[in-house]
Amino acid sequence: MLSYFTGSPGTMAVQPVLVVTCGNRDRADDGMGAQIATALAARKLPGVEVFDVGLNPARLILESREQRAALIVVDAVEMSGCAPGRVVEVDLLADDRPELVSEGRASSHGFGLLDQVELLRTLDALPPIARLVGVTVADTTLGASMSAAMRAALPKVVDTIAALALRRHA
Amino acid sequence: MSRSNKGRNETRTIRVGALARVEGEGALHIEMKDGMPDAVRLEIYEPPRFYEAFLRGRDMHEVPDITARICGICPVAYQMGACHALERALGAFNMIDPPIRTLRNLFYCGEWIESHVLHMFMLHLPDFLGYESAISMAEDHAPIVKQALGIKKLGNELVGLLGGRAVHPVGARLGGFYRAPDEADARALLPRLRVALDQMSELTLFLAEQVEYPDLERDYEFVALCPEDEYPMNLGPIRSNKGLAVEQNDFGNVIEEVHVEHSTALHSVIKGRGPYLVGPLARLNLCSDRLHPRAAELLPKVCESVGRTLPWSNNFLSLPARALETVHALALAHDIIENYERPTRSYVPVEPRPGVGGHGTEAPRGVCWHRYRTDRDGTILEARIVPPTSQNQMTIEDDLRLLAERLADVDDERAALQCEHLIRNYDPCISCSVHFLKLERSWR
Repeated sequence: MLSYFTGSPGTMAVQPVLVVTCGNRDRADDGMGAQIATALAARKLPGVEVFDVGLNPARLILESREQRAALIVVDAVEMSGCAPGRVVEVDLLADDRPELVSEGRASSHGFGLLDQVELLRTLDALPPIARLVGVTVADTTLGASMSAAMRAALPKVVDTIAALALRRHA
Repeated sequence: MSRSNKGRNETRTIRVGALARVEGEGALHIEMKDGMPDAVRLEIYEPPRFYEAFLRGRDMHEVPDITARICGICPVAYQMGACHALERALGAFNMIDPPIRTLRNLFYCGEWIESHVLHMFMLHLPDFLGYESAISMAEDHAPIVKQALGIKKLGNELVGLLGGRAVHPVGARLGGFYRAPDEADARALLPRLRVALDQMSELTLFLAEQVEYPDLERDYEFVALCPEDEYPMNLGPIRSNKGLAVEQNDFGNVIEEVHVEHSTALHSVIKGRGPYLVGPLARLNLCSDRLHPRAAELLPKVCESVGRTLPWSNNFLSLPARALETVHALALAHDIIENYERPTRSYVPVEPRPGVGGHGTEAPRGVCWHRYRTDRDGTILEARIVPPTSQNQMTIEDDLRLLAERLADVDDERAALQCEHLIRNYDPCISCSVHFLKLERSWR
């Protein structure tokens, strides 16, 4: 599991924007979460903390209860007919947001990523801005490496998420 | 959730979509005949994972890292079972330095804390307090949930201290750890351990005083490690309240794992006797006199509040048992770290040789027993892993049979909820992952 702090070295102050990625590095394109976290951390974006929860979404609630300005959750999404690497932004707090397939489904002990977001909201620990950034994937074959199309799309995806994070910081 | 309203003489089906607080894939089938349960099956259809098969042919040093992948919640249990059993097979069991044994207990404390707190406050307590989930419970009990999350995080950090990371840790190896933690890193956790210990002590009393426990007494055979001088965790012979007393190597010979048609998980029985129960209730009943003083001082108050003296023979009381064990683990972790000096070596070299060794340790859910046979170059020739949930499965079905008798006049929806509640007493880790439970109850 990766954990990054991208603020000024030597300080551990809570950064206003938290970007959390997730996914299974052993399932082809689903492994893009960890790669995005690595790439974002390397950019040392001011005011932005990044960590990858991998397959352990409970880490979101454990690590992110400090008050922040914005939370950006990055996850793989499947959209039929859509090439890998397309970025879809969903406002997690909007009443009319689309239903997400993973809702009600489980990861470890049935406590998934969106459950964590909802629990944060109940505990008044969810920032006023909470976005799901879905990145479309083409291949989630178990044990496969990331598809060539996904690899090619990744730099642009990172650019898009970095811009989103900086905009939320600004 | 859907249910029919047909009469008792017809088949009725209840479907519970997403039993979201148990691990694995399973269904519950109950057949009622003349108002009594005729057949009760906890159907586990999670695909088999073949760990024992693909461990064969691997090098002995790979085993702790491979077995850690069996479970994201209790990887330490699988690592410790593998290390101890292989050290027995390789003739190194009695060579392990005492400071390394102490660090193994600290490692395990972290796992007990994070696993118990997740189960108690996120998965199980909502049942008792009448909430659909921890999320709805948090609307009324936010301080409790916040405290629990803080304690769980601390447990994760303890696992990370020795394991390098909290999930699927990589720090354990045959003979000890790849690296012993720095004293300063360990001591940095002390202030939060003190706070967590006080909070968990109060939460334990809350669970004892404010929760009403259903009455379901049964005559269980409780099985646990029973070391003479400490509460069970890594070491000790295996004993029961009904006379079972075996050394670690021999445990596999006194139990029998049985394949049943309705489950991909094996069922365990004690040969010639039948089902048994492992887990926090067994440990507490057999070894309460070895709790850390911080937990021991709470025990009389807890017993008074729940209205029962030990031994407890009602597995709904596994909730306060877990709470007491969490206090124990926090206090033990505090003591270990307060007295911690970085050992001169973090592991004892273990050399390959042909051998056979079996050993179980106390996973949060109960005894997790491993047995390995090694070749002269350290290659694994045979592996056997007996996880706690498979050992408890027949006991869960027997519990459900008793509960089903009492639910004959209860509507299907409430019956399903109570059956799920009972299953969660065991914190079952079916895939070591039940996302979906179907309850089918038919009447004949």
